[in-house]
Order: sequence, then C-alpha cells, then structure tokens
Amino acid sequence: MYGLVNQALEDFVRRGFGDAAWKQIRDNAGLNLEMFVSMDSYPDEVTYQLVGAATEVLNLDAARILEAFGEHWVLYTAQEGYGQMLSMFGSNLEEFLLNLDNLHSHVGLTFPALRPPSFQVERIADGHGLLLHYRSERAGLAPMVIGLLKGLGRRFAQEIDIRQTAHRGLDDHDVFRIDYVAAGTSAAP
Amino acid sequence: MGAAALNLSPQEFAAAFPFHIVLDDGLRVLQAGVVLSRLCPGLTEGAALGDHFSVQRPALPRLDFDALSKHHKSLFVLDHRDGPLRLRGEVVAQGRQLFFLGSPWVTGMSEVQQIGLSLNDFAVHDPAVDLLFLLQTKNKALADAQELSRRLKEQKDDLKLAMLATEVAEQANRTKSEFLAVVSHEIRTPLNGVLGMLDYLLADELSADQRHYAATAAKSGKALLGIIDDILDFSKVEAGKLELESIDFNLRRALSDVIDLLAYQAREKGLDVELDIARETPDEMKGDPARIRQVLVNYLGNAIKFSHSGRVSVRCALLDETLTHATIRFEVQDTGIGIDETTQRTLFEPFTQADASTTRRYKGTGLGLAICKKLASLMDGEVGVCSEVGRGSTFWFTVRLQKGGTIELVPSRFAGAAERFSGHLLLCEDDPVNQLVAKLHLNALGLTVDVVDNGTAAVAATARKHYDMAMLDMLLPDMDGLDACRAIRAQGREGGRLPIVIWTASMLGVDYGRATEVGADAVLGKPFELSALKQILSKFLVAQEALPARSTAAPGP
Repeated sequence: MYGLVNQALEDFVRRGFGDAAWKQIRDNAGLNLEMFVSMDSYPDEVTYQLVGAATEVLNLDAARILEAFGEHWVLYTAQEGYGQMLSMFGSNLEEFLLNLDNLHSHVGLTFPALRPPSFQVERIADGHGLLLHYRSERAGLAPMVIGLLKGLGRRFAQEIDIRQTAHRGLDDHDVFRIDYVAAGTSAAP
Repeated sequence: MGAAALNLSPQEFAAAFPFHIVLDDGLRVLQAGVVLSRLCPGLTEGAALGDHFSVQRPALPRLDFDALSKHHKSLFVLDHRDGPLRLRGEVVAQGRQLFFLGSPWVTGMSEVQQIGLSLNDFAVHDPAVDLLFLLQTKNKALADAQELSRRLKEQKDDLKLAMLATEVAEQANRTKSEFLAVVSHEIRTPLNGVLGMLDYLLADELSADQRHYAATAAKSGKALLGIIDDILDFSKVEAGKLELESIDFNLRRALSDVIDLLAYQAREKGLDVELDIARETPDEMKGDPARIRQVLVNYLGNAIKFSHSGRVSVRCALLDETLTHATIRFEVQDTGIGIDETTQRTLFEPFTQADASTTRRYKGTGLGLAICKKLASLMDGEVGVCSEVGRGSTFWFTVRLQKGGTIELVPSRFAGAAERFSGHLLLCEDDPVNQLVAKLHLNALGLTVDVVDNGTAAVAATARKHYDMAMLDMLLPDMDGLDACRAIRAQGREGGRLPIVIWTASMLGVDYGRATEVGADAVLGKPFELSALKQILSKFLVAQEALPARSTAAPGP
C-alpha cells in the first residue's frame, strides 16, 4: 500500500478522533515512523495493523472504520492536490464511476508497485443506477468501497442508495448496486 | 507499414488526433481537431495559422510553408495568441499540405482547468494524463518533504523551549541556593550571639520567671536553628551542591555519639534507648559519618518525640559485603503513636508530615525525612518505614560504604564527652559578639582563652606561644580560616601538632573537604551546640573529672 493511503488513514483518525488517538493507534500497531511518505510503498500489513489497532482504540468494528475511511479517502485525495485531477475524471457521479477504472489504470502507471483494484461498471436496465464490479488482490476492503461511493455521492451532490449484491468468497467478486435516489440528475452527457 | 493501413476516416483521424491542424501551402486552416476547435473557436477553415498561434519552437526565419516543411523532425511548440493553450507536436508535410499532430502541453492541473480540458478530450494513447499524475505526485512528494521539515522544526522548537526552561530553572535554583547560603550565614551569625548569650544568662542567678523566659527564648532559638539547617540542607541537596565526605570513621562510635546526643531528651521523657549492633558489622568504614549521624539523629529524634513511654531501639546490621564495600542497614524502632499506611507512602516526600495536626502538635519543617531520603540516596542507599497506628514505627535506611583502614584521622581520647577540661586555647574570631559567646562557653568549661581578631595575628600567636588547641573562624578580615590553618601548619614544630578546629557559619559541604586538605582536625558549626563543642574538646584536650557548677566559671570580659 502506498504511503498516501496510510497518510489518509492518519488524517482520518487525527481529524475524527484527535492526535492522541492516532498516537495510541500508531503505538499499538508497533509503528515506529514519524510520518508516511506518500510515494513510498509500505507492506499491506502496516495498513491492516493500523486498522486492527484502530478497532481497539476507537472501539469500532473494522467494517465501520473502513467505510468511514473510504468516505474520507475521497475528501483527502481532493484536499491533497488531486481534486482537480478528480474533476478531470468526471463532472458528475456516473461519468466519474465510468472513468473510475481508467483513473486506477493511470494511477497504476504512476505508482508501479500499486496493484490497483479494478472497477467495471454495468448499467441497470431501468437507467436509474449502476452495478459496480469490484476486484482487488486485497481482501476485506469491500466496506471501504462502500464508503468511497458514499464520499463520491457527497462530492457530486448525488444522493445514492448502495447495496452489496455479491460477496467475494461466496461469489467471484464483490458487486455493489448503486441506485440514484433523486433520479435523473446524474446521467452522463 | 503501408499508407493504406492508416487510411483513417476524417472522424477516426479527428478522434485519434483531437488537437491536429491541417494547413494549405499558404498556412491557412483546412481542418482542425474537434477539441482544438472547441478551445480556439476562431480556428475555422480559411483562418491564417499565424493569426491564432505563434511558433515558439523551432526558431523560424519566417512563418511560411517552406520554413515549416524543412523542420519535419523538429519538436514544435505553438502558443495560442488568445489564451493559455500551448501545443506540442510535430509537423508532417504531405504534398502541398502540412499536418500539425500534437496535444496540449500542461505542467500542472491548474492549467488543465484554465484551458478547460477534461479527461475525454485527450486521445487514449496520449500520455499527457499520466504526465499530469506524475506532476501531481511530484507536488505531493514536495508537500511531504515540507511537512516532514515542519514536524522536525516543531520538535526542535519544543526541544529548544525545554532546554531554555531547564536553563532558566537551573539558574533560578542556583540563585536560590546562593541566596540561601548567604541568608543562612547572615542568620546563623547573629543567632550564635543570641543563643550564646541566652546560655550564659541561664547559667546565672535568675528568678523563676526570668529563667522560664530565657529558657523559652533559648528553646525557640534552637528550634529556629534546626529549621534553618533543614532548609539549607534540603536546598543544597536539591541544587546538587551537597558533597559527601569520604573519611575514615568508626561506625560504633558514630552510633554512640548519636545516642549520647539524644540520651538526655530520652531520659527526660522516661524512655530507654537501646543500641544493638550485629556482631558481623564492620567497625572501620570510610564515608561521611556526619551525614549518617544526621539521618540517625533525625530518626531517633522523631522516635523520642513521638513516644511517650517504653523504649526506643537503634539497630545496625550488615546487609551485604564485598572485598571493598559494605552495605549497612540502620533501624530506629519506637513504641510511639504509629503512622497509617496512606501517610507512610508520602512520608519521605518534602513538606509532608503525618498530618496537619501533627505539625501543630510536634512542630518541624516537614523536610527532615525528605533530607534523610536524599542523603541515603546519595550514599547509594534507601529509606523506608514499617508502622502500625498505636503500635509504633520502625524507620530504616541503608548506606553503601567503603571499608575503612585501621588508622584514624583524629584519634579520640575519650569515648564520651566530658563536662570540664583544662588547657589554653587560641580563639580567632573577628565578630565581637561571637568572641564573647565563645569565650564564655570555653571559660565555663574550664579553659583559658586568648582572643585574636585576624588570621595574621593568629599565625603570629601560635608561633610565639604554646596553645593546646586553636579555633579559627572561617571568614576573617585578612585571610580565611583555611589560609590561617595552612600558615600555622607551615610553621612546623608547635604549629604542626596543634589541634586546629575551623569554626564556620557557612555549612556548605565543601568546607569539610577543604578543611581536611589544609590540615585542620575538625570543623565546628556556628552557632555551636554546647554538646558538639564538648565532643570536639574531648577529642583534643584533657578532661577533668570534677564537675563544678557553671556559675563558678570565670566570666569573660
């Protein structure tokens, strides 16, 4: 996992729960670093250990933390200079989701060790939503995708309803159904 | 690859090159890419290239077909005249037509926005988007470096502040101890006068009321002296200025001295004092006997103070031994009021006493045990207490001492302190009140005294005349007591053997060591306790068995 993700996790904890909580989580995870370098690649275990420590310190289960973190991820990357980049990939939710896989392809070129997830989008017959097929080499991050979608909904002021309709392990991969609550505002041009 | 393979329809060509321009041989626009036409609405068919773009690179002598077509291997940079758009690409000639193939050159996301580009404007094969990602990554790396530098600076500033605070605190502490040392000297000297005079007054014929008043004044004065000593000792230890002596001494004698000193108080309260020294305890040790005595006096003094009947036991045992060192445990057990468990935990902290009512009832600064703890710790030892309310307490401390040699620095002729002596003393003291007090005490103890008020006179006197002992004030107008001592020793013969006592109001730790260095035999604090003076005299003078009433002693001038 690139440092940027861990940086975002740090930012998420510090803003939401305070500096002391982050210090505690960092200590409990046995992390001996002053700060993460965004362009450096860290073992995935570091992120998992941080989330594990956070469940104890914040007294929340991992799924809730990951979901909240996913939502924060959208805000964080925008705040850290990637906001205009995000704008470039779509001016509404649907356009952005259609470009999401492309976005990760581009990111994969820039961060060679990234092993980015893939996001295939399938339109729903009635036209008021999408199916998002999520595939990743990393397990257990589906809640983060739900948070990510909620964050994007907020970014594009599009109210959505999200349900996970297939689960990796049981099924081939994770699938999320996204229904636009106020339909018609987010159709791609 | 043949040209036919690249036979793209105009739409396909426009999609593959959304920023292309096709020009005729007069450099007029034949067609332009869809996105480029959107960004530059004036770039319509028939428009002159030069009206809309300037060629930044390569440098051309003039803008015409021939000049452009010669540069088919050059990187072209075109600047839009009406906006921030800059194109990079190449020019390909085909017959009398020129094709400009390129895409926007952007160095940051802000430019993308300024120009009005989005992802779908770029051809999929165009790496401009990845370039933008790389640029943003570079910016983020720079931001990381700046953040790291900010965090480091913050830590450095914190560290600097902490160091500054420490420095200020240390300076304040030094100032405090210097102030205390000065004040203690200033208080001790007149107090010496007050206590001395009161002692002498008490030795005189007084009415019962007068005796009561004078005795009360003397008691208060001594209490004040005790408080000053406590505060001074504590501040010295706090300031790290208390230096321990390392002299040979006899452990059994040090213990007996303590019991002798407090035996009277114990007897007055009807308490028995027992001394039990475990047989294997080594006798000859090297260390600071005065500080060990101080802790013992404190413990024993408390034990006597808080016991109303029964006995107080002083015990001493060997805890641990190596070839060179011994760890000794001292215990003082009383049958007094006892201390509850909560209080026991804070008892050795400064300014703590068993409770506020204890302070009212038994007085004291609350520093005594804190000083004991610090002294024990300076001697690589510990302190502690076991107690039960109503059953009494056992206070203990340990010290680690070097094993001593067999030669005593100052051989003592008498185990206990005598009450009356014979001999002729030289007293060197510049303060007239102190002169008077000392003379009264010494005369009362049966001694005759010559008084001089400066160091030179003292050295001259010892050269001229035989004395049994000399007492030199530390601070003299012409030289200090140590210099005077050194000068007397330097005279040899008489001066070499003369017992010399340095008499000082400044009890700073260095005095003991320096006094030993110049050849002094003992150091006596001001104002002296009569018992301490007698202890010193016992070491160097012949005692007389008879004990006449003090009022018969020759009064001083």
